[in-house]
Amino acid sequence: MRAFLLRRLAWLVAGLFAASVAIFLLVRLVPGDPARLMLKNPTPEKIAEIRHRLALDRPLPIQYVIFMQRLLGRGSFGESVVTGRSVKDDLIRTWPATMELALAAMLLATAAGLWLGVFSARHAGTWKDTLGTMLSLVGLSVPVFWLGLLAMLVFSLKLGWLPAGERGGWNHLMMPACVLATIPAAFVARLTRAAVVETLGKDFIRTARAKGASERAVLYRHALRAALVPIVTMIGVEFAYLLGGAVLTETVFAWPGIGRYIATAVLARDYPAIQGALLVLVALVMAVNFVVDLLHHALEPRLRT
Amino acid sequence: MHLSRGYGLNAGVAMLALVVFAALVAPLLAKHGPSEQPFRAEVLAPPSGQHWLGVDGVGRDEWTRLLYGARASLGIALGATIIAIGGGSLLGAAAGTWRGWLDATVSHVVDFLLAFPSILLGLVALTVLTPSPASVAVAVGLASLPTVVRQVRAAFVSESAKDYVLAAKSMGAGRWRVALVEVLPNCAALIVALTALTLGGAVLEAAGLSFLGLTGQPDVAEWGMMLREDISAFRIAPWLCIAPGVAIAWTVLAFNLIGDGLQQRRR
Repeated sequence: MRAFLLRRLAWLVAGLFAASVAIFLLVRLVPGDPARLMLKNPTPEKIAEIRHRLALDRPLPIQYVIFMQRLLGRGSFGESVVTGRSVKDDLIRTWPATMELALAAMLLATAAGLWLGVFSARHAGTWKDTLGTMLSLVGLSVPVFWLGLLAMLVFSLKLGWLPAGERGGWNHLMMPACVLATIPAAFVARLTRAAVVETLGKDFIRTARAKGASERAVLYRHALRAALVPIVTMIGVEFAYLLGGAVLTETVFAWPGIGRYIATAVLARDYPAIQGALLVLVALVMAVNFVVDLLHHALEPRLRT
Repeated sequence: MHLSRGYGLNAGVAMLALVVFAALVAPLLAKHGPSEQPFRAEVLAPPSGQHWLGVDGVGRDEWTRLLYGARASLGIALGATIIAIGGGSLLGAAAGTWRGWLDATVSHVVDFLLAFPSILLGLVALTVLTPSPASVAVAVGLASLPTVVRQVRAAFVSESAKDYVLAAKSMGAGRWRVALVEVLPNCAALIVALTALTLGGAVLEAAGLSFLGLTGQPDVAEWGMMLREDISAFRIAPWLCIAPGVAIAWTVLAFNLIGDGLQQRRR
């Protein structure tokens, strides 16, 4: 375990380094002068000022060192070119909103997906299975931003039950979380069905049934537990789906999170903001995958040394 | 996945045929050109016999936009898929055939990229490219590339271990011959299924990116872009927001049914 942990940790650091270089180079890949692109009416003085502020007037490796010094030394991503506010402060402000939404959606998606997957698997081959499978396929096909619009149309505009958008209490959270959960839930359902169907065909399930274990115990205590390893490992992928969906869901619901922040930043070509938000999201995805890998290692007896 | 006896595949093909038909005959069924705004007097008019899906916020017939949208959305998805499947198959096949450092590099980069949501990769690509429908196609194509590389590589690796490859090699076939004549035909079914799934994913992804405003030109009739524009009139004319979403979901579902059906048939 220790060797694995160290190796995995080394990968994490290497990955973060690669990501930081990629994100740093991103702005330099932009055709033309990024300083000029960022300004509405560029004057030579303004361009020079931005070039200096972003250290664009220095050689590339030096630029990277400056970039990392600012980042690691002061935790600074620079200032937004559009609003002039510190990107770090913006991210600290938007971070809790995204976490709240993502965690709520993660819980919903995992619960609903596991249930639907087990439901399909236990009725494998019947119309109930077809229904469950169809449902998850539709869930994977519907655009989340449109689903959000429909939900607002029904629950806010027509019925007036829930507020349309913006952050607040649980009633503000409910709709965006459910909408965001659809794609990951469908994804979890498909994998769970496949994993449970496979385990249900194994000998130890026949043994459990022969012992007289109830169908419920067979399903949840034996089959689902054995299928848990592939299910846990997919949490990383599920999380990626969540963050991707969050960009769109937050935009539709005017949810003040990092997803909407980065979408706005890309549209405005606000490079410091894009870099900062990207770095945070990338680090988050890598951290989640790191934890998932450790969990996988701990759960899978065959990987123990 | 289980959708028995190929019904899913047939349903998917039928659903897709409808969309392709709409895209082909769009100019015949449309009430005006894709970027004209002839109904300014009837802005936000509700659905009627004259305007089946109503009139949008700047005087365009929503039904007409929906038809032209099929062209734009399918076009972008096709462009993206050509990039993803073409580039992905090539890289995956090369990595799976030549192995060694090439394989190690490609696999690591792909594993790294696969951890990230593809819409984020698309956003990253679009920070470098100028916003336009073609850029969205490139961004979506690049974002879908890693999945294709991984699957094709895995198929090449597992096929290369089989006896018929060994037989071909022992008869003196070179690497190129083995890869192209022996292994590739056995991976073709996978690549076709992947193409359908990639097309579906690309429609969804492109719609998302253009909903965020990254196709650049608001006069392009593209389903995601339509939703973006119609959302401003959401409270007054909510019906406008329904049709483009149905069109997106319909098309993506068609591709997913086809992809799933093909994959099931392979097994």
